[in-house]
Amino acid sequence: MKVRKLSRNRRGVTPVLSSLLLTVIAVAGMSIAITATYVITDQLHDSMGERLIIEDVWFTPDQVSLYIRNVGKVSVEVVSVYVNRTDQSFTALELEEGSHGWLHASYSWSADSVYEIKVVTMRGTNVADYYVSPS
Amino acid sequence: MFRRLRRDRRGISNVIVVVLSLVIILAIVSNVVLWNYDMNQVDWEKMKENVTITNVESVTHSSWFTAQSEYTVSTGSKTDGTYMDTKVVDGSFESFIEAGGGVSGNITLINAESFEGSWPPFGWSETGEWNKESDQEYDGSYSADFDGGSGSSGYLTTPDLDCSDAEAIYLDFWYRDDGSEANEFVLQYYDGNSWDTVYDLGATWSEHVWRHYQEEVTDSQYFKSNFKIRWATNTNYYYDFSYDNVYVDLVTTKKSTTVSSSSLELNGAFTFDLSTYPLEYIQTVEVQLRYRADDSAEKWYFQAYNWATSTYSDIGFNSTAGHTPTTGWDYYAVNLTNVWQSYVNDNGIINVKFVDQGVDSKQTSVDIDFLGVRMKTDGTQFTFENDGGLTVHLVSLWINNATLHQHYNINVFVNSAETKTYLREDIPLPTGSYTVKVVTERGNMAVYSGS
Repeated sequence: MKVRKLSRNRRGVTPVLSSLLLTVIAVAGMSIAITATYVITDQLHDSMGERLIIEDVWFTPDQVSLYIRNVGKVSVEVVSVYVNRTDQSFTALELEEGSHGWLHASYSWSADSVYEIKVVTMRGTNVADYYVSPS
Repeated sequence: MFRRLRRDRRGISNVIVVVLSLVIILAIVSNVVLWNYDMNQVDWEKMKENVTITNVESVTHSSWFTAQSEYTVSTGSKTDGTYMDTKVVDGSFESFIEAGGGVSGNITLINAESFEGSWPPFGWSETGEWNKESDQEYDGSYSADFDGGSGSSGYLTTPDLDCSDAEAIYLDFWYRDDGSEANEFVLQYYDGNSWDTVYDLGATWSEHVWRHYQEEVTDSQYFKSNFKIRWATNTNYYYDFSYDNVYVDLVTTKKSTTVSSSSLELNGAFTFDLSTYPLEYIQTVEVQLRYRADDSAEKWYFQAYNWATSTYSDIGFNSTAGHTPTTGWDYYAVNLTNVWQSYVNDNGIINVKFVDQGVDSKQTSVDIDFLGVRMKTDGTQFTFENDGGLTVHLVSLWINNATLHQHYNINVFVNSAETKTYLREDIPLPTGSYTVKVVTERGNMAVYSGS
C-alpha cells in the first residue's frame, strides 16, 4: 500500500534517500574517526611502553657485543646501533616483552678507549652510555 | 527545549557531533593518561629498587648430610643414645658395643687391597719395577704392576701379618702373567726367618688373562707374628718373545682363630638434597666420622653400598687401609674419588657401613659423636641484599672476566630489607679478577668485583 503511494508520489522518495545517504556518511565518518583514534593512541601507547637496558657490553676482536633486555611493556626492534655517533652494522634483534639476547655490532675498537654506544629502536627509543674497552 | 530541538533537527545533529567528538577525545586522552600513569608506575618502582651483592664466594663442599633414621646394627648392639646424637660434633654421642662370643671366626688381615690409593699401600713395601698402574686391572682402576725387562727384579711385600694365633691363613688374590716364564714370578711366604717359595706363578699357562689364586695355609711354621707374603720377580725379557709384565690385584688375607671373638657392623642411610646439589655437579663424596673406640689394636673401616653390584664395598675409595683408633676422640674420613656414582643412587641416597677389622678377642665399645657425608663441588654462593622498599626479582646473572662474559638466567626473589644467599653448584668462579652482575626484572643492576 505504502509502496503504491510512494510510486504515485515521486516527491516522497527524496527525503528517504537523503536520510539514508546521510546515515552512510555519518557511519563512515565515525569509522574513520575511531580508526584514526585507535592508530594514534596505539602508537603513543607503544612508544610510551618501550623500556630496554644494556645488561652487558663485551668487546671481542672486531666486534662489540651488547646484551639487551626488554624490560618494557611492548616488544622492541633494534634498528640502529651507533658507536661514537657512527652507525654500525649489526645482527638484527627483536625482543618480545621480558626477553633478552645478544646483539653483535661489527666494530674495530682500540684498547683502553672510551666509546659512546647508542641503541635505537624502531619507535625511536634510545639507550646510550659510555663504555671503556679492555686494555 | 526538547520541543525546540524537535522543531530544529539541525540542532540535534550538532549536539550528536559534539558529543561524539568529546567521546573520541576523551577516549584518546584517557588511554594516553592511563598508560602514561602505568609506565610512570613502572619507572617509579624501578627507582625504588636498591639491591646489592654483598658477597661472592667459592663453595667447595656441600653441607653435611647426616642420618635421618636410626642406624641398623647387624652385628653388635646399641647401648646408649640415638642417631640424633651423631648429627653434629658436640658432647652427645651414640654408643655401640661389639657382639661378643667364644666361637671361631675369621679375622681379615688384608681387606681386598686393589691398589687404588697411595703407592705402596700403607705398610706394604716394594723394590725394583713394582708400581701401581692402570694399564691392567682386575678390580677398580689400578693393579700392582711389575714392568719386566732384561735382568729386572723386585719384590712386592705385604705388611707383617700377626698370625701367631692362627689356625689357618687364607690367601686370595688375582694375578696376570703377560710373558714371564718359570721362576720369573713366584709367590713366597716368610716363616719368621727366611722366605720360602710356595708357588711359581710365572710357570702357569693361559697367559695374558687374570688368574685367581686361593690357598688355605695350614703349615704351622707360618703362624708367626711377623708372617708376610711377597711376590718376587726376576725377569729376562731378551730371551722371551714378549715383555715380562706381571700384575697382582685384589689381595685379601684372613686368618681363622678360635679365641673369643667380637665384632661390630652398623649401617646408616644418608640422603643428599639434590634440589640444592644436583648430581651432575658433584665431583666426589666424602664420609667423615668422629668416634671413640676403647681398643687401639683393631682397625675400623668404611664401606658403601654399591648400587650396581648390590654389595657393600670400599673399591675406589681414596683409602682402604682403615683407621686405627687412639682410644680418644678420633676423626676418620674417606673420599669416594671418581667412583662415587657407584655408591649414590639417582635419588641421592648413599648407604654407609662402619665395620671393624674382624672378629677379635676384645669386645670393643664405640662412641659415635658425628657421622656424615658431604659432596665435593665447585660452585659459587652469592649473597644479595635488598635495601629497597620493594621485593626484587633477579632474572640475570653475569660472571665476567678478561676473557669471558658468561650469562646465566636466574629466578631469585629477595624481599624488602632481606639478605638472601643463592647457591649455584654449576657456576665455578674464574681465577683472577672477575666481576659479578645481577639484573632485576625492572632493569636495575648490582655489581660485585672480586678476585
